[in-house]
Amino acid sequence: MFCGNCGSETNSNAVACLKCGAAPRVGRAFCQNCGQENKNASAIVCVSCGASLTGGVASGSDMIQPGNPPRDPVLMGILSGCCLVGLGQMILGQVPKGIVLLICAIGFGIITSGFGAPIFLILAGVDAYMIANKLKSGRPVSSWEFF
Amino acid sequence: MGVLLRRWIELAAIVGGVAYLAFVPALPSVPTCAYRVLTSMPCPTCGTTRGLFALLHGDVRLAMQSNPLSFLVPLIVLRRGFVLTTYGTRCSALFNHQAIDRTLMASFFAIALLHYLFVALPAAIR
Repeated sequence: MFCGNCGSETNSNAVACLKCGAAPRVGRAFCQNCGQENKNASAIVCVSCGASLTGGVASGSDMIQPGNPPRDPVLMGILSGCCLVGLGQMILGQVPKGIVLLICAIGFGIITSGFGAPIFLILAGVDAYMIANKLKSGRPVSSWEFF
Repeated sequence: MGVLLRRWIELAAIVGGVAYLAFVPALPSVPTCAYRVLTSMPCPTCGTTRGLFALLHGDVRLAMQSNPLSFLVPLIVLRRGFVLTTYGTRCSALFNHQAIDRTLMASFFAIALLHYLFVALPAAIR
């Protein structure tokens, strides 16, 4: 495959392009299938080979597409595991899931008199980290996808 | 939203946050941890804001006492700032590896949990 940001050939499992450092499945400046430069910013298919410029991935209405630049997985993990449970998920686009996580964390925290804090914080942090990692590698995620 | 605008907004948020903590004379007495407000128990990351404030004002000892995460968070924020400023160039890939991500995340939770179990929790129960 080719990097969607700079057009250089890259490994299909790579999370970052060796030439430009961007997530290879995120950009639409170059076709990821044939490497042809895309001069039309609003084009959704490559004029050279006809492949989808979004990497041929599903783009359903409930799917969250990778951003450019991608969110930092570590920061998202920390926001969910440190500042507010579910905040990382909300920033990544999983707003209902983030709100549910927050409500569950508060409920669990009150029931356990605060002792349950580490469990929920770590779970929410790891979840936000892994979801951000999926988006960083160019894979879309659904609104309720976990880990 | 454009790529450049998103980068600038995130960079501005980072610089603004650091500048606020560095130049404000004292932290406001508003509680920042929702968990502590609701349960009156500290969470594993309680004290990080105070620690960052102390660190930015040169008080390394107080930063360590508040929460050792105060030393890790600046590294994470600095790395993100570097990745954002060099995004799209070769330099960006220097610190943008999954191995670094995993190490930072694992260190963060390990420090948070150890501090909670051996420092924050015993102090709260006493």
